Amino acid sequence: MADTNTIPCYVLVNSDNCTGCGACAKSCPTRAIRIKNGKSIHLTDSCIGCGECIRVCPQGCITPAPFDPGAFKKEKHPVLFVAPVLYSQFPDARPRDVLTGLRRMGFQYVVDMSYFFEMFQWATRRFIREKAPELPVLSTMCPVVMRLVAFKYPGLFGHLNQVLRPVSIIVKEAAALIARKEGVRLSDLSIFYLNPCPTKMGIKESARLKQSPYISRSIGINQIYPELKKHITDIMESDTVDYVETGFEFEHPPCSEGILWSICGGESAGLKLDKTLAVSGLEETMLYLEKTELDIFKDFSFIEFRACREGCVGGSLCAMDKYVAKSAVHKISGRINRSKNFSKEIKNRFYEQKWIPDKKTTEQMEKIFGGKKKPLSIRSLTRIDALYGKLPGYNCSACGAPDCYAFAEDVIRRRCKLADCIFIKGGN
Amino acid sequence: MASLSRTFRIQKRDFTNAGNASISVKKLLKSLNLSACVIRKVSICGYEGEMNVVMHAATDGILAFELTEKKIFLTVSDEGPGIEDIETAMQKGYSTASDEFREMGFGAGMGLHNIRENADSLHIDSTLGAGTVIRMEFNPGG
Ligand SMILES: Nc1ncnc2c1ncn2[C@@H]1O[C@H](COP(=O)(O)OP(=O)(O)OP(=O)(O)O)[C@@H](O)[C@H]1O
Ligand SMILES: [Mg+2]
Repeated sequence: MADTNTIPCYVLVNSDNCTGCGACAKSCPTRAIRIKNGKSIHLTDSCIGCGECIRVCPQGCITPAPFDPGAFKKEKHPVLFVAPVLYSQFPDARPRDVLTGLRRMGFQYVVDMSYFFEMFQWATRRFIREKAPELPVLSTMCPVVMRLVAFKYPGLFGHLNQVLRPVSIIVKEAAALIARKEGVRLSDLSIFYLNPCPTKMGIKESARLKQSPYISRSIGINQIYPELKKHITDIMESDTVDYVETGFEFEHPPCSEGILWSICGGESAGLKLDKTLAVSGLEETMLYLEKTELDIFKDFSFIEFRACREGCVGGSLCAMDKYVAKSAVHKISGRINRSKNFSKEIKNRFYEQKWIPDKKTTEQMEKIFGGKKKPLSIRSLTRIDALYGKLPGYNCSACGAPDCYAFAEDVIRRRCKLADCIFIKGGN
Repeated sequence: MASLSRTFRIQKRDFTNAGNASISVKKLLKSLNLSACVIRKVSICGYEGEMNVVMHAATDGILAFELTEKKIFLTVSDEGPGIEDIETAMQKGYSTASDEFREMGFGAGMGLHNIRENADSLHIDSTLGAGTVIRMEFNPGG
């Protein structure tokens, strides 16, 4: 592979195949991409890992930060955490067949996260009803939305759901349990996440996870799909194979409510609150965050935002078309016996007394979810505005910036020269 | 002195695009090193002013934004019908909004009150039949 952009960022560009068409630059919601010398480059302080560029690149040369999906096979105790969206990729299989398939692939433990999601949902409902938080409370489940809030809407920090995100407890609880069961140290476990999007795969993020006792890596669903599909087909064809619980608490196949988390609306529907909204897709998410900042939705108790259209089924690392997956979600969820839903006692276990409220300050949130562009002085903004007025306004992108405004800003921030604009250079 | 100004058209009865002018102003302010509180004040006042044109004005209106090193100015103007009694209109809960608008969630009679609470300085000129001009000023420092 040719030289790739190695600066920390959620995605990588393979310059060999890049034609410099600029589709990625135009799609980027934080204006983090420029075309320089005919190749796409990322301004890494602005990448939020949304995956839009992966989606739009006609050459397929933008990928998540690379990782060998087979690497877990070399590990002694590979533990896999599964988001419920995985089941939507196998419309005809039962969730337990999917979990069995993953074990056959070589994961020693497979943990379905929807168990925690339901507990979290329960705690969120109580938090909103009993603690009178600033309304609307905003969902914290989509990491891209969290980074978007940090990057563009820090004024909304106070609206974020303060119940600790389930991922934060799930790994800790489950890893401790497994380590005890195996009689090994936490650092002997290798933690993997199976993800529908590149957003947890960045170098930035893994640097942050370094503090935990175990290494954790992300695998894209599409990276293991073919192999898993083979196992699942085998399992479904033989009726002798059945899901065997290894007697480990978090191994439950999901409940019907948990399955719905993979489509936008699933999280808010399960809250059973009076006025909620569910918004998906990056553009709409940004528009509704803007509106939320104007207090337009102060009568609503909760807003679920998902950066991918239709929710996690629309993730750029899913293997299946998002609408097909969405229909599968309804089918699978309908098939699951509702009487098997978790009882209140189970749901309350981690959240009941302590709530585990997330007391992070704005500064801490900014540190975790990151990057903010260096603010401009009023003088510089005025200069950008004046320069912008002189540009043709065609947003032709021949300069390498996604539009004329971004170009004007680049010139004033000294990232490029005014002469890069072919109209200015041509003297028009 | 450095200054930047923008004007935005506000269309009467256009609820789909209502808020866009304030969103654009908000985007500009966010690229600066201003406190979230100042940005919030300006955006909320802009939005309330904008909504009043959308709901109450007989003509389209204009939101003008000006930024200097010392002050942020917002001016919302329209050409009618004007406000009969400004003091009454400013009162919390006073509204002449129709049932139709109330069903859409507007008409709580809070708009002008919110503006008075959030703007560092406020002047309203209104003449029946001629129109309304709301001038607001904010200190970028807080
Ligand atoms: N630009 C305007 N032109 C004419 N009348 C106006 C204008 N702005 C406000 N008013 C009058 O003043 C009243 C109070 O305005 P205010 O913004 O406080 O409340 P509202 O718009 O009725 O309700 P809310 O802002 O809570 O949705 C309005 O009901 C209307 O009669
Ligand atoms: Mg009003």
